[in-house]
Amino acid sequence: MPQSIDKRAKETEIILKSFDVFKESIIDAGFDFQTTFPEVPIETVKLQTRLLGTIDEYKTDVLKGKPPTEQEKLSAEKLYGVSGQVGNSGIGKIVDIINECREYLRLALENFEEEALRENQMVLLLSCIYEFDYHRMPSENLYDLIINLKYGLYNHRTRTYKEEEIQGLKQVFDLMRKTLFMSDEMLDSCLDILDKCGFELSAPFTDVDIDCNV
Amino acid sequence: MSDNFLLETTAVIDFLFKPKLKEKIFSVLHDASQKTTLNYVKMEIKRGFLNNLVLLYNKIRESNKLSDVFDYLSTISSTPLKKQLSTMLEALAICSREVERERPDRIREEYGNVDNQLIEIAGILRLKILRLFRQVDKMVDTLLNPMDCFVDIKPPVEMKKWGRIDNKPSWCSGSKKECSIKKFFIDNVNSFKQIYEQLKEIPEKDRDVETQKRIKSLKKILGLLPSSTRYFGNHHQNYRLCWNCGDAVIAVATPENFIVLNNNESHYLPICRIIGKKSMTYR
Repeated sequence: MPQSIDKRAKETEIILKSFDVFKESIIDAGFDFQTTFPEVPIETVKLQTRLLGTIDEYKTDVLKGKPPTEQEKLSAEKLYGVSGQVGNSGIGKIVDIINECREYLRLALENFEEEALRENQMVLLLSCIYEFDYHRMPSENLYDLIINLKYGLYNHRTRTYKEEEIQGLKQVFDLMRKTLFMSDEMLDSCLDILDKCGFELSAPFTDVDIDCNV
Repeated sequence: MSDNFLLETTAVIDFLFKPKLKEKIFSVLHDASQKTTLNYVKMEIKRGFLNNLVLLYNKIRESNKLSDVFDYLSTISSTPLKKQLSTMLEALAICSREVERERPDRIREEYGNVDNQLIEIAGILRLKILRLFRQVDKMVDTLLNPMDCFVDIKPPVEMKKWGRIDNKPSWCSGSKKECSIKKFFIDNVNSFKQIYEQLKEIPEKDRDVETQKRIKSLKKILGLLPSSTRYFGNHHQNYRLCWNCGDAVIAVATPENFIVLNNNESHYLPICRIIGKKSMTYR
């Protein structure tokens, strides 16, 4: 089977499974709701039926291989709201922090020739990244990427930044915003970008004497 | 004309783990016509350094306190392994404490302190372990395997259910009876004989531990090559012989027009001279 078809089949399987989980959750929630509020069961059932019907329609579209329209594509912001709307929820807050980091990087790039201004943005970026620690991460890969970035940025503090390093970091934060539930492939792409732009993630090992014969 | 380079095991690890040495290696390699390494090098990394990293990662994930991990490491019987893992954990712990000290006061006042040290150290190790093979593949243009060593070698896999990493397969499925490397030794027996004869001439007081092991192992390997009934491979007790003379194997497997890029002149320079290969040290 060609790789692209294989990949598509895998994606479809994941989407269909997610829809099934979604349906089960709605049925469970509906049952809980009816048990707790027995006086409003008809409205609940109507809502539940409508939601399950919509999901079945989506499932049919996925099985037919119909690609989503631009309006149907969900970015993390569309899904979890933008700053100020659901900013206090876990994932909404993470989107906010990612956007704040992107803004520092955008300003650093825009003002690259203004050394003090650029370097200040990078100082703020490191400060900002500590805020991730207080929010539940949607995926382990995203969490580990953030940790590695935090250590990388910290260890960079004794040097000024090169333009390609800032560009690489900006690309990585852009990718993060698009895919909070970071797959292994996406994580690899992010780390490849950092490798390519020369952003160093191995600094914690600098002083370790590694003997390969051990 | 630019040169071709073959990276030996420590050069690969230094490139991936030591930013300062990476710069030096990069300055050598950036003009290279071709960069290569051996599957044998990947095998050495998998059964050695990578295995050690996986052990450290899994122990961290299993423990609640950093001191528990240090206590565990102190009980390891192999002194070099104990030293390497303890030094690595110490370096990561120092780094994490420094990173934590930089936490901005505003964030600390708003949200309080966090105690993520173990989780963060595990996070640093996790990405290093899972990506190591991919990085090796990316840093070279080709991967050579003239001895058909560990043909089905795979990177470690994450057992998401347990939050642990498994470094299987530990053995090559193609070596059920014996390793194909025996044929490689037979095909290159003259080179290995020359290396053995010349290394034997080094006065005993001038031989380091590795050189002593190399001489002993080469003698035993050369002794079993003529026999078709004396098997040689990783399912037999003599499997360590091959690992003990890794530097000689790597030098012999290096193609004629390639330079062995290494960090250990005292080992590689004499071996390469004996068999007419070129060696370059980046330290």
